[in-house]
Amino acid sequence: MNRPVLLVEDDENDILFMCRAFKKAGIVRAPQVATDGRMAIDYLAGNAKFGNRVEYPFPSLILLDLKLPRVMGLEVLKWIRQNFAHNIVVIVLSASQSDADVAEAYRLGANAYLLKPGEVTQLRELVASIRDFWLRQSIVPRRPE
Amino acid sequence: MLEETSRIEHYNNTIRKPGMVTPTFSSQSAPIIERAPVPLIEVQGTGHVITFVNPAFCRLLGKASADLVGTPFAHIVPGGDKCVAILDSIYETGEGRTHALEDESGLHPTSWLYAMWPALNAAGVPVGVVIQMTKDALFRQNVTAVNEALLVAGLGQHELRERAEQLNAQLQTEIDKREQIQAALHQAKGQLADHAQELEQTVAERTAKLRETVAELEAFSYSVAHDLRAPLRSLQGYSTSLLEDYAEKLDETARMYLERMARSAVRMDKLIQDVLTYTRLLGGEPKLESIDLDRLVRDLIETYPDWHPLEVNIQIEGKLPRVWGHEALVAQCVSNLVNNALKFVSPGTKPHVRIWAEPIDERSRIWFEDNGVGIAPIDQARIFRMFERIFSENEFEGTGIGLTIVRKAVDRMKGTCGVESELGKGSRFWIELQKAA
Repeated sequence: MNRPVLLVEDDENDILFMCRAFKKAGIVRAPQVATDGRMAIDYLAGNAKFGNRVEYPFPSLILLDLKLPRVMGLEVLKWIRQNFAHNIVVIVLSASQSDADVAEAYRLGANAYLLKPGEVTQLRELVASIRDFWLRQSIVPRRPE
Repeated sequence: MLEETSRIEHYNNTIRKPGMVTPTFSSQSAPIIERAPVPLIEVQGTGHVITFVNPAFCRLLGKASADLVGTPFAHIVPGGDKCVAILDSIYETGEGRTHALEDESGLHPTSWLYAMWPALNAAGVPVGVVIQMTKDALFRQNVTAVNEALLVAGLGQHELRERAEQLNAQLQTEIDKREQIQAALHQAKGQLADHAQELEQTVAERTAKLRETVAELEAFSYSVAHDLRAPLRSLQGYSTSLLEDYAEKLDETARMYLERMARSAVRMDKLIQDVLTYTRLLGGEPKLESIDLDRLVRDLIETYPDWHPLEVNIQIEGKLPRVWGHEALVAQCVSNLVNNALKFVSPGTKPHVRIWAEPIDERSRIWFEDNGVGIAPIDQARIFRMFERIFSENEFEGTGIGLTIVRKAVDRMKGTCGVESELGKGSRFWIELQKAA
């Protein structure tokens, strides 16, 4: 329930709504945020300040947007699977319904592909279901050393 | 010498005929002309009587010497009378003469040539005339004929040559023309090949351009999905957040404004999503395959959250057939049609939808019948057009794209669609697809 979540999202509004949805869904720990693909990789690699795992804990779940500055979401996903195999749960959270994006995301090893809801209430429901399924019910791999 | 004299005597005796009163002459030329290889004859006296003939002359006339000697020359040869004056003149002048006679009386025209010269005595006085006769085919006429023939032939040759030259010229013209035509043909072929190549290139370019356009359209759709929807979500998100987090600080009007703001944002988001769905139908060629329509529709009904049996009644009659189509497109059509059937009902009526298949030749028509408000005939053509709506947003929510998507989707699957309806008596929408094994 207290597992750290990394949100990779560049839109500050979406970040705000996601944090609000987390709070409304009763998830105590606010998600860690990386605002572009490069930062996401640095965070996971523990580069520079992200080496401080007390302040920047290694996530057990990643919510990954696809359209990101500097390094695109699918590139981040590929990097994750190359460096950590399948030891992190990656949920793609995108506005794109493109068949190609969905297929490529799963091919690269996404654990789920969720569509960004248009309404905050739906986002809250979505976050609640993530909480229930991924943070409560699922057994996820232990944090890689 | 003595012998010769006796021979002349013999001749004289021989030519002397009983009853003839001709004077007797002795031949002057006999010894000279006797063996001549040409026909020769000697005449003497004013009557030009023959005094000697040589054997060649006898052969020429086909007569014996005895029949000739003593006879006037004029009597024995054709046209002989014409020679008399000439012979007379020879005595007067002492000069030889020639005479030609054309005899066309016989079967073969003949030319007689007479060469006549005097036989002189010791004193140089003419005492007789020696005549050489030559019989020949009428060569002058022959020459004329030959000349004419030659002339004609020459003319003919000239004409022939002219004709040949003309023909050659014509032939050359034809050859030139043919060469021109061939050159033109060659050029035309070349141009045709060029055109074909240009055409292929144009097609290739246009295809590339089309692909580019489709790719651009997809990129555009992607961009719309991300960039246009994000601010909308924010708009809706903040208004909802205000309503939820600051409810006690807002009066009723402020809450209504915020609600309307949120609803407008939601509606615009739905519009964008529908347009995106529609544009996705435009790009690329859907791969058609055999679809298990029965399983597809039953799965859809089971999984669709809004089609709960407690609230709506959806009934499939019989087993739906396999059809030729694209699963995602068929699912899109079915969900849009069922959603419409469930949506457009009078308030308080429990929606009821009946689905069945009707075979029409090689095709299957799938019917979707509802107990809704129905559509007036005048509106039935409009409803498949983009953004055409026959109800206000207050009556029934919608974007006016759902049926446009259905029509485009069946179109992409080489199918058709339509509606039968009457106002207040429900509607029967149908899609028609190729039957599949």
